[in-house]
Amino acid sequence: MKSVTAFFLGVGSALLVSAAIVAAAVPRTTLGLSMGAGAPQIRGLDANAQAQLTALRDDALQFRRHAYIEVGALIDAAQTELSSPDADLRALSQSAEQTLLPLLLDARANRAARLAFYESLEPGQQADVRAWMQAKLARIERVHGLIGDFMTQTP
Amino acid sequence: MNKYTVVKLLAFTLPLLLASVDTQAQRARAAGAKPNAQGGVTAGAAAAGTTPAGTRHARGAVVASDGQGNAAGASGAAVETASGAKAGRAGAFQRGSDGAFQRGGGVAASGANGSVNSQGSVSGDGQGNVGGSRATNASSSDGSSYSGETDYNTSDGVTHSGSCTNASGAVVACPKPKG
Repeated sequence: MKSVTAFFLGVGSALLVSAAIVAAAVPRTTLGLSMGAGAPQIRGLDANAQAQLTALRDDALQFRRHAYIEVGALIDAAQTELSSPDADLRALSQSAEQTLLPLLLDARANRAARLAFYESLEPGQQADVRAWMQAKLARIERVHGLIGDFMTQTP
Repeated sequence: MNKYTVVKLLAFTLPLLLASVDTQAQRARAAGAKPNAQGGVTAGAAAAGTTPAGTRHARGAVVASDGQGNAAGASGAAVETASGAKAGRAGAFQRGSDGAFQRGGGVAASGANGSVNSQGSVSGDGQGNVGGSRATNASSSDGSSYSGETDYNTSDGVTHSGSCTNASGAVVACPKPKG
């Protein structure tokens, strides 16, 4: 029984990771936000640093598009598989991992480049970045709170 | 700014970083920015270390501009466990002042159960036309293998193809839903 539970938890985890990547991959315009809202306002950037920041932002945007398409194809394949009476959930889980793990590592590549950029900034500019991150975290905190309310109110 | 310049930089630097870390648990890290020969600035960071369990790891990232509005970046990481399992990833991107864009990356891993590698790329012309692909190859320790590719572009949408071979090298039906 434990192994059955663990198996379905494994499949469920893969699908949850899919959902998280989809959420990260959805183009911001579809969420009603402008693309510009996704970039920090850093004071005093010179032309070189501004070009780097623009390239990093575009790289993140292209990654989201790329991930959105790949996860979309994965979901289509999963839906097809799950509609079959002899659906192979083990193969489905393996297929999900083959799609999602490279995407997760790909996301790390952009993060590493962003961190290198951050570390090249002046202290005041780094403070601007941190303030932008704090504002984003505040929004996540509100969503987190709503999920907590939902969990406590759901029987 | 040639993205392959930064890729080469990482390709040479990461193995050296990994080799420089001995089996004693330790960690080294460096970061900085300086003017480059193209008239721009290169910012970079690198780190390497070992865990108490003997896993060695190294990672690095650079982002550079050329003073003309073009920018490129790359990052990579490598890890090797005490048991000999290895994994690495690398990615690079380039953006022109006209908005044209290229990004690519790959990951490879090998261990007792087999190996897998996956490369993806995407490019855009800055006018809304985007295309990309990902190719994945995996082989298990029993000799069977999987090879698949997903391609997409703005005009044609998404296509996927895949094939599998058994331990004898014969082409067989892929487990659903890969094929």
